[in-house]
Amino acid sequence: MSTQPIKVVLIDDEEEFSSTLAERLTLRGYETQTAASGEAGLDLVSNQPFDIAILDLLMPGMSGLDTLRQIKSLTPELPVVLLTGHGSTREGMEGMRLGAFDYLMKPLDINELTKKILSAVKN
Amino acid sequence: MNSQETLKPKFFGKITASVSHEMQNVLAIIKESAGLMEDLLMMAERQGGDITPERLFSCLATIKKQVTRGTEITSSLNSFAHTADHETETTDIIEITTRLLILTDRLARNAGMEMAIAPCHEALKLKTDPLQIQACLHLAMECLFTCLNPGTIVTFKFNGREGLLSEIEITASNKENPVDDIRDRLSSSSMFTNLTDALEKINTTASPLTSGLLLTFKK
Repeated sequence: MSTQPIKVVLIDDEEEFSSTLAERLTLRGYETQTAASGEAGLDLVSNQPFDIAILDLLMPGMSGLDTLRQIKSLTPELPVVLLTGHGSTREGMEGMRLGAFDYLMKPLDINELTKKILSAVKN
Repeated sequence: MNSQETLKPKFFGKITASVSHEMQNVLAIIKESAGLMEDLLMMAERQGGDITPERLFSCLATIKKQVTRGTEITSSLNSFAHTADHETETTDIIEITTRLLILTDRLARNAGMEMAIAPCHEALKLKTDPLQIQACLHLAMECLFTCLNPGTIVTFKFNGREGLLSEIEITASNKENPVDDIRDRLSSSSMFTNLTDALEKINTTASPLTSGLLLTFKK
């Protein structure tokens, strides 16, 4: 019996970061797509089904928190894990108040991220 | 403390916060690239497959590029930090602005702006408080950002004579749409009042232009 791969959308303006992370997740059996802005991420989320969104908080144009608000209004069930480069947890906590599943600090630990993805998707 | 007393520490904090965030991104890319190389090598070891050298070279190229980016940021930050060493110093304005634009690149990109420096044929110097002038240039940028649409290019042009700076024109242009006349919006903003107060400390005035600002340095 084959199981469907978990579909992940990575939204981050640091394209080298998201493409490399996407490749690492693909090697681990995930199906990934990337978007380089909040606007592009919303476009993907509104047109394709995903199991989870990984969203950077600080992006040019639409901010991470604004993108999160829009994702939550379009697809309230889609779990979102936030990425932050901030030294403080304030922005991540604010994101969780807005409905994010959790947040992680950059640079990431891939094992911590995959654990978070699995736990969010199970929930 | 009034807004003028807090200008320099607030500016210092803003720059270091933005730069440290940028460095987190640099380190994150290096970590993911190194991680990808590790993944590929482990897969080859476990499954006995081949890895094409191009794949590893591509990861290494990304790492090298990010090390260059990180080095540029940290050396600019180091030079910037040393500008607080002296209250007054003869300052190369083009050098100091170039560095400021590297350090504020993320802040400008977040506002949807692109920053540029017009070519200048001679080094222009100014005896001033180097931290105050940078705080003023940054305040001028922020002032303009509030009046401009995303996608705008903000260019610094330096005018002077015999190696001495006399004026800085900071003007906005947009390839897609003409820039509106921003004079009224600029002169009525509280940020512009803060800017003129901050510039007064270094004997400089600011005047709104149709699409920007003119800073005039008094002798």
